[in-house]
Amino acid sequence: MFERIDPRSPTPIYAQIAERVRVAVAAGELTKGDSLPSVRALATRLRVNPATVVQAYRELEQEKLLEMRQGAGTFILEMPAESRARERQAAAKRLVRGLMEEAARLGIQKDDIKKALNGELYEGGR
Amino acid sequence: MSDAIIVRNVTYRAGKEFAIRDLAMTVPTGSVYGFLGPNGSGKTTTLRLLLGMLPVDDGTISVLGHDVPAGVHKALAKIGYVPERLHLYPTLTVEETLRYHAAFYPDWDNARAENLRRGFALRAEQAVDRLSKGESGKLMMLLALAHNPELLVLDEPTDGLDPVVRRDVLAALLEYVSARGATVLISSHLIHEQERICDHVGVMDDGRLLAEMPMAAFRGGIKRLRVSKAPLDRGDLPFTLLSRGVSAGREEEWVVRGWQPAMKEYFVTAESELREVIDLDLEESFVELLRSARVPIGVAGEEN
Amino acid sequence: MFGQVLYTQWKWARTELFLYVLAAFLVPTVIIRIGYSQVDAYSISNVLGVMGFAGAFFGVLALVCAFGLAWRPYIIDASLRHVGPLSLPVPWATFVRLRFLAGATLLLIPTIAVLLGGVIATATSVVPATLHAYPGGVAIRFLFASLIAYSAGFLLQYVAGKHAVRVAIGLFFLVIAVELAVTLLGYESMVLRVWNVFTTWPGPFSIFNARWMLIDV
Repeated sequence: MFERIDPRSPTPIYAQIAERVRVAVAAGELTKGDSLPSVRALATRLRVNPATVVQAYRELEQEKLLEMRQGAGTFILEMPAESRARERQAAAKRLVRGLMEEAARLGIQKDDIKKALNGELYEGGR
Repeated sequence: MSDAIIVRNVTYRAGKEFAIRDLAMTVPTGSVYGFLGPNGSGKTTTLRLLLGMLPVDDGTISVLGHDVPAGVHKALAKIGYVPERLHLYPTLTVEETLRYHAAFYPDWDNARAENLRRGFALRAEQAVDRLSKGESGKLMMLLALAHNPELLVLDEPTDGLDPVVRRDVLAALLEYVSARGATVLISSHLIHEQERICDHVGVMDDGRLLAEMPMAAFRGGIKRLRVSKAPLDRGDLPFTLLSRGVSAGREEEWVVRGWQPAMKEYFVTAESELREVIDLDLEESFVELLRSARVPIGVAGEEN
Repeated sequence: MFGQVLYTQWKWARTELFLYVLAAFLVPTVIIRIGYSQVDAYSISNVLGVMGFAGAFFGVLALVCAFGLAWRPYIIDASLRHVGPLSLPVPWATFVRLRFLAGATLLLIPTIAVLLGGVIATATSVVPATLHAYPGGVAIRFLFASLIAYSAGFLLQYVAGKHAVRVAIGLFFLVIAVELAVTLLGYESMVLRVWNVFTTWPGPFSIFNARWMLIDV
């Protein structure tokens, strides 16, 4: 889940970590009660500053996505179905926005994008 | 909590040349401070000055609340140091080296030392001069961590180590920092490694500190702009221009510092077009900063 | 702390200390054996002659032990740029003191060897009437001589630092130059006078000039 954290990306590392967790929960990969690695373990595994992991977990805790229990670990809380759906939609929007920005950079027109999108959506299976 | 390291107006001369000029540096307690700079910029000299191994010609240094060099040995009891070059006695075994250091550090933790030794797969009866480069690197990190220090001063701790050993050494370091909340000052030219683990950065060049700030601000603060119909210098730039160059046709590439999104307006009023704002990673930011520091480009973009 | 410094210095000097101990045990006996085979062992003056010869050995051994122990730890530290001692949480002066005491303590090893070697040598050879054996005396003399030489060598090393050898060589040439100048100008040898001051009582090196006699009146 955390394999492709990119320190060079403009997105801060803590945001990337938080994002991964949000997407995983939205997709159902992580459900209520699942435990996340400790700050220590994750920082060591990713070779990043522990403070960034703390920041990610705190942000998610504030969003009521997880709970850091003293001495026991970090556990995923229930995410209601609507929130999950909203999260998936938000993720989709982000993907598309990224696509549009890239297209603008390369000077690709909207029509070409639409054609390519249709091709991929209906040709490569649903 | 006062800062772990405070340096003010330090000057140091090696021979006739000024090695360090008017250095001011602050390492906040609990931070992982990345010390960046090209070879010969004075990083190792600065670290030696901080630890009282070299005498300052001018200025003050305070480490963990103690004056350097007056009270430095009191601070050294709480500092874990990994020097650039192996400083261990070659004919002693790993175990003898551990026992030797244990005798000097009141907070030495035998259990931790033993755990680290096993974790690093270092044989107790192996002589230091028979250790591979990777094993020496691990041993030095072990010695720096075993006495429960508040501050770690690391000079190129992973330089020349293969990727597997580098991971082991960094993992041990990060484990310790997570558990202990120690302050780390790490000097390294491995910028991508620094990018992952540091939350503060200090850039040194030619004996002077060019920039010092939290990592996010440093990275976020330097951007590359693609500008067409580039405006003439009117001297009223809202940001600091580090460099500008023609990229293709009428398009220019500007590297700026202190960028805010709202500054897009400037290009509108200057009747030019800002085509793209590109984020730079740490290495690119670092290179641009150095480049501009060495060749200032004129009044409008001059670094202070 | 002292224990560890002593241990490391002992480990470094292990081999040479072994050689000194071996020499201290064997050489006196060998000299006496050879000496007695050359002269009439019952003649007092002959015995004293042999002892005088053997005595030189002790003086030389004291010098060699002393300088080896004084210089080796510094040279090892210097090859590592003194980073080890400088990064330890003890003041430099404390560390130097520990080094000094450790080396001085190690001098006890050859001293005891000299004592035992002397005992063995005198016990297994003829001591003519009216003469006595003084292995203890020689051992004590050895201890003091080596401590003095050790202190001088140690001081030179730690004060002159990496220039110690250059300083020593420079001093040597300086002495020769002064001597030449003095002699050419027609004065009495300066060097000899200074030498006498240092090596006759109460000069510090007088102990080297004394008689190191295992067997004496």
